[in-house]
Amino acid sequence: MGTPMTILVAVLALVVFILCGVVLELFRDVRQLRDAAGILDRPLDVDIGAVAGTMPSSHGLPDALDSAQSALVLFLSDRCGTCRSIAAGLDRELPPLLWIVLEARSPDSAAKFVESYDMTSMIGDGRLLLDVDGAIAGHIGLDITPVGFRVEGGRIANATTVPSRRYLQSILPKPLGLRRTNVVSKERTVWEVSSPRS
Amino acid sequence: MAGFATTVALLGASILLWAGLEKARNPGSTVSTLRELGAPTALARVGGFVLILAELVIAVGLVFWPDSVWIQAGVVVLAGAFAFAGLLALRRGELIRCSCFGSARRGYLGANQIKALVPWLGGVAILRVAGVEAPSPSRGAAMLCGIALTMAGVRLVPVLGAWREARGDRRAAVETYVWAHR
Repeated sequence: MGTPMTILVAVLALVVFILCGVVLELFRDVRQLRDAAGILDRPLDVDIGAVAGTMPSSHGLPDALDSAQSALVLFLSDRCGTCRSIAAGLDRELPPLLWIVLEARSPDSAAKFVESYDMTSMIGDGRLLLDVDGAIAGHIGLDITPVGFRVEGGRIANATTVPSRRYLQSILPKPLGLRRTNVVSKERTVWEVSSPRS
Repeated sequence: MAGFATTVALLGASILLWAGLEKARNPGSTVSTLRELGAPTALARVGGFVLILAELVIAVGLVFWPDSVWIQAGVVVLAGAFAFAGLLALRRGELIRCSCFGSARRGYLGANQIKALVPWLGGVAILRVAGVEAPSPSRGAAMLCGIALTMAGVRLVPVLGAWREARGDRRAAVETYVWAHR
């Protein structure tokens, strides 16, 4: 490639660099506008009626949730775009205290969804349930997704829509841990309860 | 040693090219910073233009003529100017937006610009001591092309992330609206 052509490629690359900067600022502006308009990460409360206060296992959810002090059960669907965005942002290892119920039209579409978003290892963990015939969602009376059901003290407490991965991260229950402070003397040992650094 | 000196020159060129282009995309931010440092508006406008041009010219100069005394002196003058701006900001005791890499980045003028003087002067010293030679035009063009392509690639990564996020927000807004109004 001759020198003039190389210089041209360099100039074009720099133009791309500038345009990418413009696009990045535009996306940030859009996010700011959405936030100002109140439509960014705006969850809607889901009226769960008689489901509130019931044991999760009574709706087909895992028995382990009946003894969970705090947990989040996230219902996703293979037909929902937001669900796919959330699934795409999940790590291979689910955050602690998060369960996922994937509602799918058929075993094939469930398998495709799981494979597309690399969620196979979550099935082995037992915290990803495939609800192929909509048994769990139907039992609860759920017809929208994504929805997060909060479990507290082994009972279903409330539910909201989950509009984005950002919002999901903000509502995930965080496990508490104990942190021992530096010991000043043998007679003075102070224990504190603190949240883990995330 | 010559190879190391060339690397240093290219690194300096990349930083100045990135900073210059980001400032060129939004010159108002640089003018605003100069005004906050105390420059009158007209002088700030001229100063902003000169600064952007200087960064771009010196960046290209570091690729094609790293052995030039003028280019090396230009690096020293620029670094000194940035350090002086940092010092002014500290003396004024105000939070003055840096605009070092354009308006997109957040940061304030202060000790960082003064500390940055050390690596800049060190880089020029390496160029002088190592006796770096100017590359041939074709090699210089190839190096500039490499820098430009790398910059574009690095810049593309956050754009893709922001696009995915914006698409997710758009979908969520539509689906939430549909559900709320059914």
